[in-house]
Amino acid sequence: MGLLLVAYLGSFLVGGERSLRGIGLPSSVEWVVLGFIVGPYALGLVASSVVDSVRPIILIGLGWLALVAGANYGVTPFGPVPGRRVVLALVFGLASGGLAGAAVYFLSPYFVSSLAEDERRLLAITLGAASTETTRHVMRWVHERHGATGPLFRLVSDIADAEDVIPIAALAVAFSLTQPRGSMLGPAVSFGATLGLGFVLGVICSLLLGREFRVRESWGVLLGTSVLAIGVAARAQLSVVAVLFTLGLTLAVVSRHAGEIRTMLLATERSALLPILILCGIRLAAPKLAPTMALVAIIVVVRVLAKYIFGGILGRAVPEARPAGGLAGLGMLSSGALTMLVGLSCALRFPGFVGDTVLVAAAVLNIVGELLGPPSLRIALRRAGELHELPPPPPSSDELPEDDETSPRPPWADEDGPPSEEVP
Amino acid sequence: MSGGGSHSSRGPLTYAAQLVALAVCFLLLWGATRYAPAADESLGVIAGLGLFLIGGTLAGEVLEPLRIPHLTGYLLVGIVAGPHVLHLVDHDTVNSMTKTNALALALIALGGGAELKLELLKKGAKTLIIATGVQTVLLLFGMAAVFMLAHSIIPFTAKMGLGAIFGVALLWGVLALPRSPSAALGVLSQTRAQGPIASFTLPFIMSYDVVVIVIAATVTTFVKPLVIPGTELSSSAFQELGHAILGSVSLGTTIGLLIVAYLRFVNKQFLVVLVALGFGFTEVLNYLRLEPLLTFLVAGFLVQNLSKQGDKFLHTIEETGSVVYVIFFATAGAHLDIPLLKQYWMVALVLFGSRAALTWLGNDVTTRLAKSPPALRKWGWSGLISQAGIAIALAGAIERSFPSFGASFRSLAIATVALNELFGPIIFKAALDTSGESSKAPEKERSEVVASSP
Repeated sequence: MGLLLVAYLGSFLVGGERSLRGIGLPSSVEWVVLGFIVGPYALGLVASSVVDSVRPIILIGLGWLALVAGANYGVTPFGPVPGRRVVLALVFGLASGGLAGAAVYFLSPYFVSSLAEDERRLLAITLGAASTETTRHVMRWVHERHGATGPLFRLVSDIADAEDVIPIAALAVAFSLTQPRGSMLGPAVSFGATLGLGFVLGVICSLLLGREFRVRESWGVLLGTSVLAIGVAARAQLSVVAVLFTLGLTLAVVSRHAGEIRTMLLATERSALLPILILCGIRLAAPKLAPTMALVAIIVVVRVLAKYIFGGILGRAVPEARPAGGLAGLGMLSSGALTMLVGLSCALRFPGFVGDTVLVAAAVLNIVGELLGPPSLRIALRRAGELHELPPPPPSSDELPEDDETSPRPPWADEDGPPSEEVP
Repeated sequence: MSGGGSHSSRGPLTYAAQLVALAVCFLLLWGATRYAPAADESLGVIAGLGLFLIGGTLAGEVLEPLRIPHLTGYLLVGIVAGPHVLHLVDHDTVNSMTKTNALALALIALGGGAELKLELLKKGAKTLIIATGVQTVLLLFGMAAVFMLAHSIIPFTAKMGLGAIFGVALLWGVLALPRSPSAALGVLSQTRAQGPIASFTLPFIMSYDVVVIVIAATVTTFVKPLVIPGTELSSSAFQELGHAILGSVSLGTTIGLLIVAYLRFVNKQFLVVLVALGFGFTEVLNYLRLEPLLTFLVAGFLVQNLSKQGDKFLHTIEETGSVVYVIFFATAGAHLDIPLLKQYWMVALVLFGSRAALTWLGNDVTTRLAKSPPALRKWGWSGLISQAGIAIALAGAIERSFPSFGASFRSLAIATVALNELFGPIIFKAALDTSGESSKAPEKERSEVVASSP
């Protein structure tokens, strides 16, 4: 309850040139910092055990955010991401995350000698997963604040959106590989069950939303399916985030109301995200500081290098990216909520060195991304001639919108609502 | 509560698909319960909540062609998934889920208070006052008489003297008084009924809660010397009652004014306010020994009648409640003690039938005295059959006050309330449908249909 109120009060404070209306900083890292400040390592107002005490709520929050991400996968304000770009994003994401994972796998024995082989593998997969995402909010930010439009902007938006599937898949693999002893599910079955559960419930949800889309019933169906999926996944020790992402993705592909569902879900994102990010900050811990920071430094360096190199390759291969060169890649350094979801998910499932390190890495990657990503993206887009002067933004309304029964806006949606889906 | 309305476009295939989906949801949880026992109870709670929500929503839809209210569907899902039938959700999990009831009850009371528009109350004041008097006298003494007559088939009265049986019978009379605001609100929310029955039922049930609280305290105080030998009449119960009622009204007024100010000057993130009121403030009220239902009722009433934000406020509560109520009723269903109902079914049936008959009689007398419209004379009783949380809470209070027979009394009460809870909403919805009040509602639901994407 307190967290909800803190997030609520804090939402009034966020603003300024670097922030995004209704979100805050593109990476939303300020909420993680706020959590860290009130947490046990700074002011000590909240103990880290609070995270365990509200575990069910966190699982629901994580699952819901993954559902939002899944339902919005492959769709940008410009429309669906073309298949070629999805492939490009997957290759880029795999290369970026794979390089980070490989670096961790081979270098970790130099910093942590006590790691067993399976822990080393787990660390590599999860840190690789945490170092893949480019937040879509940075694209929204550069569009809202600097009027970015054009082919390069569209290219990076498409890649940023489409690469989200890599960290989710990596998370599903990590959870499948670590099924507890005596579990009836082997790694392959467990991975299949993760996808299967999300798919089956996604199809059911889509079926139930039916031909006509009734907003009030839809909330019951969406929430019910999601919470059931979260509960079953958590019981079976599957990745809640991966199951719900699959559910959202299935829903977006199968349902004829995908557009309305996206709008409904996006409107709830902030309400779920802010408390989760604060909890991430509270949960941050590094009992083995030196090895943790060494591993974090490795993946930060590898991520920056990988992005820069990818930007260079992109500049040579795609004409739209030529003027920006490597900076287009650095512009995609901004990570955000998905990275924190991966971190918190791992911290809950793999308590100890692995979980702590992934969560710290997620937070550090977000901070580094926040410092380097938006300025690089702005310069890259300026070089490409895709930044435009914007008229001053209209004042935000303090009133609730008039009752509109046709609007799929939920009762708990914040007043800023979801981002505009209009093509800029 | 899921909206009802025009569902004519849904064919048999849709209902079949919904049934299959319902079965798959049950199967999924059964599989998880069977093959992945939860090490952590909270995981069971999440899965149970999910099943209740999706299963309840589905069951409400599936039962719609039978003209059964959605909330009966929610109850049935709770019963089937609950600890007495399939055991997909166990006792501890159900108990953990009841924490959501605080939010549901707050929303019900706020919504109920906001439904009480002053001009409508003024218009129906005569009927409401007469109904309060008639229903109270008839049910209190009528049910006490039925209980006295039926005491030979009520096991726990076997060794009691006549005075004690009379005392217990009066307590049973008190137990017959509470109605279910949540059930009434649920059915009205689904049918969006408009007309004399709808206009009478909710204000009556809401305002009658206050009467029940007063009468329960009074009768309990007077009955004690009859049932517990050596006990003297004490005025302390009235002091506590005065404190609870005055405190609740004062605090309710303050909360109402704060909500008005919030809606006027901030008007953002109202869900957070509702959640804070439902979960946080209910705890405060319980600590202060005030009545949450009365407090929130007064607050809702104030927002409706002292500001221009009433309709918007009500709309937000309805939207939020649509999800919360499904869980509330499904949890109530899971709580229903089916083995107990099996044990007491005959007595419970007699008491249920008598209460329904007395309620009908009370309505007949009221409407004749108040010269009410024919529809109200015919069907005004239908919304007053349902009982739920308040009656069970009252039975719990009686159990604590009279430990010698309290447990058995409460068991019989739960069995009887179960019948009222199951059949009350069905009767109410049938009455609204038959009288045509359901169909008089504006086609609001239609406007909620968002056109399919091309």
